[in-house]
Amino acid sequence: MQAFVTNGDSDPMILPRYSYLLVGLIPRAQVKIYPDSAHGFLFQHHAAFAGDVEAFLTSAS
Amino acid sequence: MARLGHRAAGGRRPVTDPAAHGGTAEDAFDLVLPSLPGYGFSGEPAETGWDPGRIARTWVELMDRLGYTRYVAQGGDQGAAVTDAMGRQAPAGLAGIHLNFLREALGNVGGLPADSGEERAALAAMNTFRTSGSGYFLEQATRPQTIGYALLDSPVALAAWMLDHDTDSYYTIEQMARDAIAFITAKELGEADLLGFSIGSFVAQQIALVRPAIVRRLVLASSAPQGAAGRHGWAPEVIGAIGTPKTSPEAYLDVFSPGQRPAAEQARKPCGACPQGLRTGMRQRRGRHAKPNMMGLLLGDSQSWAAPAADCPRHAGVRDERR
Repeated sequence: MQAFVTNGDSDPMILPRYSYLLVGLIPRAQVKIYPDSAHGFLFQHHAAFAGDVEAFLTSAS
Repeated sequence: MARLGHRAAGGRRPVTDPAAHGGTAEDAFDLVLPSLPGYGFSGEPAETGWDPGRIARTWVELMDRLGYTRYVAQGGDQGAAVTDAMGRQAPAGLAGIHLNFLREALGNVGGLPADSGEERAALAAMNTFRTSGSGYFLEQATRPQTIGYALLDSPVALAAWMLDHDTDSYYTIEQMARDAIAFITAKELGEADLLGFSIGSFVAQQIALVRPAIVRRLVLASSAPQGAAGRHGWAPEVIGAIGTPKTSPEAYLDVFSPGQRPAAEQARKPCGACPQGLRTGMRQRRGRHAKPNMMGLLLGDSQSWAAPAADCPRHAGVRDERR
């Protein structure tokens, strides 16, 4: 199982440092933090987020 | 109909094989589990009129033909109406009934007692169900074909309908994970890709933790590891923004998009990418939840799920991170 961990750089609800913590705990996990965004980062950066997710899901394992 | 007899059952079942669970063989009893006409394993009725009273008489006849002379009946949901009818018919072999759904009470909320705390809590739960939890019933009872097309056509529609039917499933991450696992398994999807956002990311993690074999790839958005230091509570400004009875649009939106921070901070951290449409849409949806208390329940469970567990070895690595 592979994991892709994402967040907004200014999310006050679930702080970005937890994304780095998760990536350190899950073997071979990748991380991406999106700029100038908070808990709604995936709606704010929807095109980039969707593209990153698709690339992750279709990449060779 | 399924019949689980203690003589036939080879499995480790507390009811049919109590000796394997600290009881004695004499405690064992049979379970007879008939499906209502038109449901489950039963065939479609050839004519109308299969009301709870007629089904109840059929169950009594069934028990008689199976050779049971003394039995008890249990029912929930629609089955509770049948079991209630069996009790009123009082056949000779029926020693008692047990209900976990009070259909008669649901139709007579105004006439129920409200003297004790338990009675008032029960009334409140029934009112919540009547006002915001029974939409599925109206839809299925009055326009079944409409939802039928969606359920046949779309696995997502089916999952949403199943989850919505059990409104309790909204409130705990473990229950949401169990529901999702049941859905993935029932649809025979094999390995699935999971994407979870916020509370949903905790659900996705929970699924990956308890059933890793059904997860191919995992996308976690706005997530945190279970047991992370500091995850036992929200920051005061977040609680103030979304967790109080009176929220302001500006503070609420700021949790999702940093466009309305105080001027000094905004100058330091501009938000050029924030589309106005996002903020407008969220403003319109703010505060509209399926149930009034849903947000509080969900936030509470997301905190208890993510909070550090003192004695769990699985969290040892997470706690070490604090140093």
